[in-house]
This record gives sequence, C-alpha cells and structure tokens, in this order.
Amino acid sequence: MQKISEILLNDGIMLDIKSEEKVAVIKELTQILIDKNIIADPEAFFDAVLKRENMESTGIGLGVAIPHARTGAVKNIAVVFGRSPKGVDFSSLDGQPSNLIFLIAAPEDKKTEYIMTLARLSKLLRKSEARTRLLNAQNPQEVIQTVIDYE
Amino acid sequence: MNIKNILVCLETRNPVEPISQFTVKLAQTYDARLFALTIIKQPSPDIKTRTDERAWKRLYEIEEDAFEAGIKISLLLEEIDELNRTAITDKIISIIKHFSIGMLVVSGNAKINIKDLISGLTIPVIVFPPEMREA
Repeated sequence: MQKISEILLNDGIMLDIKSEEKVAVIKELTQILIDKNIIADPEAFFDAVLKRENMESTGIGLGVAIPHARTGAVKNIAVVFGRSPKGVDFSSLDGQPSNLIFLIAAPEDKKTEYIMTLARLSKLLRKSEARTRLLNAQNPQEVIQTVIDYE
Repeated sequence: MNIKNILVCLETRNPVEPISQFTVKLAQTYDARLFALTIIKQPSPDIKTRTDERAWKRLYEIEEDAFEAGIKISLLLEEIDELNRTAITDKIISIIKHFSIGMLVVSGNAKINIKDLISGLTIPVIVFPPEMREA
C-alpha cells in the first residue's frame, strides 16, 4: 500500500487557490490531474466527483474537505492539495468552511487502496498540529514534509 | 412510517459489510439519508494509535456501499474522553437529537446501555443480531 506522501503529486500543491466556490475549486484541482496525465477521461472524472458531492458532504469538518472519486476515468491513484485562505463551503457538518482541500482520484479497480487513502488522510487531518502546519506552509515541500511527518 | 434520517453506529472491531448492506437497504426502503457514526476514545497526543484509522476505514466502506446504492450519507467520527457505556450512549442520543434521526441501527455487541438508549428515545431502534455480523 502506497503512502499518501508517495501519491501526493509533488507539483500538485496549490497554496493559494483562487476559486471561492466548491465546483470551481474542484475544477481547479482536477486540472492538475489532467495536466499530469492522471485522468483518461476528464469529463467523466469531473462528473464522478460532482456526483459524489451531491450525494454526501466531503467536508469532514475542522476546515478540511476531501473530495474524491473512484472511476474508470482515472489511470493511477493520486492526490492533489489546494489551500484556500478564505475557505470554501463544502457543506461540512460542523458548518465551517474548508481551507485545506485534498482531491483524491482512484481507478475503479483500486477500492482497497482508495478507502485506505481516505482513512489515512482523514486521520492525519484530524490532528490539529498537522492542520496548523499545512495552513502555515510556505512552500510545497513543507506540505509534503508535514504529510510525511504525520502519516 | 416517514423516516428521513437513519443513524447507524459502527463498531471499529466488527466487519462493516453485513451491517452496512442491511442499513443501506433500509435507507433505500425509506428513501432516507444515512448518518454513519463511529465513536472512539480521544487519543493521547503521545500515543500512536490506529484506532482512528480503523474508524475512518469503516466509515468510508459504508460510504462506498451507500454511494453505489444511490443513498445520501454523512460520516461522523466522534471522540470522547472515556469509552464507557454511559458516555457512548449519551453521545448517540445527542447526535440523534441534533440531526433529527428517525431510526437507529446499532450492533448487538455495541458498548452501550441499550435500556437507557431505548428509554431515552421515541424512535425505532434496530439491534443488529450478532450472528449476522459473521461474514
């Protein structure tokens, strides 16, 4: 099982997301996956992520959201990260906007890895020290190092 | 019976599949939204534990089942100071009230005061039989 730090794309880290609305943020992060040739069918992947967003809240509270999709439109499991200084409404149950947003893409046949990635990332992001470091990271390397230190 | 929200309490030590499949079918029957809950002990900062990872894994497993069945679901992971029956029961009751839950599903071996739970509620409570947990 790959670690999160191994599937978090090195150049898939945006420390200052411009979009302020959920769908636009997901589109911004999805573009990174498209550019990195992770996605075979961009439209199908985007639709899969939005379908899930309509079914459930991927905002897990504490200022964190983990939009995700497992679909045949994805070639390899990958994670990208975006940080929104203002926060984005992901309909979290605690009512807080999300500042830390991790988008997970997984192929259809990688269910176990996908669920474990979600579980490990959620665990990591419940730690307040980890969230503080991610909120204050000055560069992508500090984000990666935080993930390495806490996973 | 008009039930909009169903709460299922997942035990981290039990396999999720049987209770997940049962609860997702229940939600389909009532066209209800699911709330999946795990309650864990607040981990000490100096102790490395995988309990919360197991708890999240259970939650995301039922999320997958619900998603594939077209059922809306919200995941709840609650941390409490002490995992005793009274504290767990009180937490479940507070969540039921907060989210206007209309039906509760719990495992037969859940660490709860089932008598207090039932007497403190006016909603149907389904205790998932232990033998059905053996997948």
